[in-house]
Order: sequence, then structure tokens, then C-alpha cells
Amino acid sequence: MSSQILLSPDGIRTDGRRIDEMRKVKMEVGLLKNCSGSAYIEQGKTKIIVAVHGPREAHPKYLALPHRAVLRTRYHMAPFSTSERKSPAPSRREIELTKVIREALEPAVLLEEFPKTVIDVFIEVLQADAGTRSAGVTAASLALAEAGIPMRDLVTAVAVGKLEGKVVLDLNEEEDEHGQADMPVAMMPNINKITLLQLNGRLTGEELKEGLEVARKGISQLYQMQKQALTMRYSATVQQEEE
Amino acid sequence: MSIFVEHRQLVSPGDLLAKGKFRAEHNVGVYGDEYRSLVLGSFELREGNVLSVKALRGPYIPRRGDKVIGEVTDISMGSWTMDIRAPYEATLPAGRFPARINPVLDDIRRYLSVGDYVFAEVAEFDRSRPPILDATLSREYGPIRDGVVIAVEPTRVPRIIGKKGSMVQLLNRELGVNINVGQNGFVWIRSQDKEKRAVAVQLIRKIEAEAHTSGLTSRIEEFLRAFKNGSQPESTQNVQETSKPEGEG
Repeated sequence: MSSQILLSPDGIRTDGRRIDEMRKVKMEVGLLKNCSGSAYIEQGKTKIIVAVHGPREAHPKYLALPHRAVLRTRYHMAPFSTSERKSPAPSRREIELTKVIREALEPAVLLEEFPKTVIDVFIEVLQADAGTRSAGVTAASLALAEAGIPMRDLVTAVAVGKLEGKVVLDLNEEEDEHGQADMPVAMMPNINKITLLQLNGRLTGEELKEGLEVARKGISQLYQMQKQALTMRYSATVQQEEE
Repeated sequence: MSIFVEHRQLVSPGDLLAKGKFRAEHNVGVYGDEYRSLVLGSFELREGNVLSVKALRGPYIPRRGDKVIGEVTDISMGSWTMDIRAPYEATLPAGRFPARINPVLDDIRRYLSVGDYVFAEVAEFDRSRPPILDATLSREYGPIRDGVVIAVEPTRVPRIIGKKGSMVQLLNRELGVNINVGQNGFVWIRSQDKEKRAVAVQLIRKIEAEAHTSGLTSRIEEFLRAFKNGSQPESTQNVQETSKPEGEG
């Protein structure tokens, strides 16, 4: 397989990060107008925009559930998001991620507050460089919060992986492709519950535990940024009018 | 018994508000002895033990008795379908419109067509059935034929109305306009004087934007004083005549 060295002996990765260091992250909330809530996230070269609509009347009607709202997600990669054109039709992978992301968000949203309605979450990947499902979850929970939809907690997600036998935080595309394992983790940081845990590759029991610890640290950093992004949105509403 | 956030502090979903024994009101989740915020908004503490969070944004949830302004989206045999900016479509039956209509003989289109606005009351709603409006319960209800209707965040409506209607009364009195506020965030403004109407629109936008700040009433009063003295405090130009509310249908 690859003869590439992803992790130098003194613990430096190909992009110069240490093993427990995250890529540069930028978040913004409330950038779109024609929706209830929106968010944008940049995690390294991964760029994702999320829009939330609703709760609104379910169409087609048979989708509606009598006791709770339906959370309808759509994870989609733009045709220009990868180096080779991606067909805009939903691929097998996108359909699966749609489901996985929905299940990562569902435990947080108080769906029973809005029976017979749908809440739409559109996750549009503009540029993909690994970690899109986790960045998508992080941004989606921001967009839901901005829409004013009641939630038990924000959901924050990050991936951990294994390179040269070492557990590392937040893989990029290169590391994801050639590394030994990739494990996305989504959590509700305040109430300390995991809502998504997948593993691609092999980890020992010890490594799994370590990976979760590393992910937890990454998540708490991301969570602080989420809160900051929400606060920015709030103070921005005041300043706009005072100018 | 301890409270971890200050009155009026910004909180987001999942934030720990207090631990111990409290009364949880709007947007507060209770997990054993922990009280957490469910939305993004400002924390409110009343009487030392009543916790609530005022949401920054959010959908309008109809309640029986709410005064609302709806837009006709569809017409059927004996009723109109109305958009009241809620997750649920509302119905205004022809029999609850303030005119004698015989739905069998009359074409109800003559009274209201698609795109018209109506001021009415939520007569029935319990989340298992769609809301039903009634425009006969008070003389102020009925179709909106003049003035402008603007859309604001439904979560900011209480501030626009003010305590026992004080803010609306202030604007009505000082500007000589006639403002009706729907709980669903549609505001109807009538005035003979277009300039005054424009100022009213501007002030409502100001209240909406600064709804979560304190000392708002005095700032509005100051603005009105300045306006009365003839000096234009801020530009009043960018107010559209037919302000069709934006947002989803």
C-alpha cells in the first residue's frame, strides 16, 4: 500500500499538525435569508453550508407522524466539491450519510413539540476534504439552534483516526485515505451522550477508548466555537440597527 | 440550590441554568435536579425561583384566543386556507367571516381572494387539528383593505406590544397611527400620513432588533421626541410601500 509517511517519528503530520491538533475551524450562523436557520462551517479545507426549514406542514401528507415532527435531512455533495466531478444525483454513500446524520441529530431535537410537521435540514458540502459528516452534524445543530427549534443540547462531532499505530484527531483527506482507521464521533457535550459512532478500519479496545478521549477533547473545543458563533449572531442583530 | 447564569444572559441549547428545586417555564428542560436551556435566547429569572428562556427566534405556535393576521393562500367551497406563519395551515370558515355569506349561493371569492390579509382570532387549536380562525368575535377583526402589513419575528411580538399594550399605545398616541399587532408576527399599520406610517415601520423594526435589550422604551420615547421636534433622527426612506412579508409560505 502506501509508502507515504503520514506521521513523522517526532509526531508531526503531513500538514504540520501534532497528533491531538485540530484543523483550523471557522463557523458562522445566520448567513442565509430564505430559511428558518442556517450555518456555515470550514474545517481545514472542508466547507459546508447548512440550511434548516420548518417546522412546516408535511408534504406529501403521508409523511407526517401524528405524535412528533419528522426530521428530514439531506446530505449532498456539490458536483464541484471533489477533484473529480461528482454526479449531482444522490449516491449510495450520500443516502447513507443522510440517514446517519439524521440519527445523530434526532436525539437532540424535541420533535414531539411539533406533531404532524417536518423539519428539513439541508447539508450541502461545497468542498470535501474528509470529516464532512462530522462537520455537517456540527453545522446542522447550529442551524437548528438558530431556527429556534427546541433542543436538549447542541450536537458536536469530530473524527479521530489512526496513523502509524497512533491515535490522531481530525483526519484530513490524505490521512483518511491512507491511514489505518477513521472513527467519526458525535456527542451532545453538555449532557455527555454519544449520538454517532462509526469506525472504518481497525482499533484495539485500548485504542478505541483513547480515541473517544481524544474525540471528547476535540468536541469540547468545537463546542466552544459553536457557542461563540451563536453569540456572534445574537450581538449582530443589535448592531445592525444601531449603525 | 444554585443558579449558574445571570438574568438576561445569552444561553444556548444544553446550557446548565440551575441545579436544585425550581419552577421551569418556557424553554427550560428538567433532568432530575438539573435545569437546562432548550433554545438559543436570553435567560429570565423571576421571583428567585422561576426559570425561563426567551427564544431569540422560533416558529409561531398558535394558541386559542391569539389575535393573528393571516394571508389567504387558497379558497375552497366554504372556507379560506390561511397562512398564519405557523407550522400548521389555518382555516377561516365562511361562517366566521364578518359578513352574511351563504356559502352555497355566494362565491366567497368576492369577499377575500388569494393574497388578502385578514385580522382574526384563533378560535380553535390543539395541535391534533389545524387551527380555525374567527373574524367575528370582535369588531376590530376583518379583512385588511388599507395600510401596510409587515412581518417581524414572532418571538419579538411581546416587546412590540409592551406591558399591557404600552408600546403600541405609545406609538399610536405619539404618531397618530393605528397599529394592530398579530401574535404571529404580522403588524398592520394604518395612517393617513405616509411619513408617519414610514416612521412607525422604522420604529417597529428597531423594537424588533433590540427586543432583548433593556431601556428600549426610553430610547423609543427619545426617538419620538426628536421626530416631533422636526428633526429627522435617522433616515426613513427605505420603507417599501407594499411590504410583502418575506419568508417561507
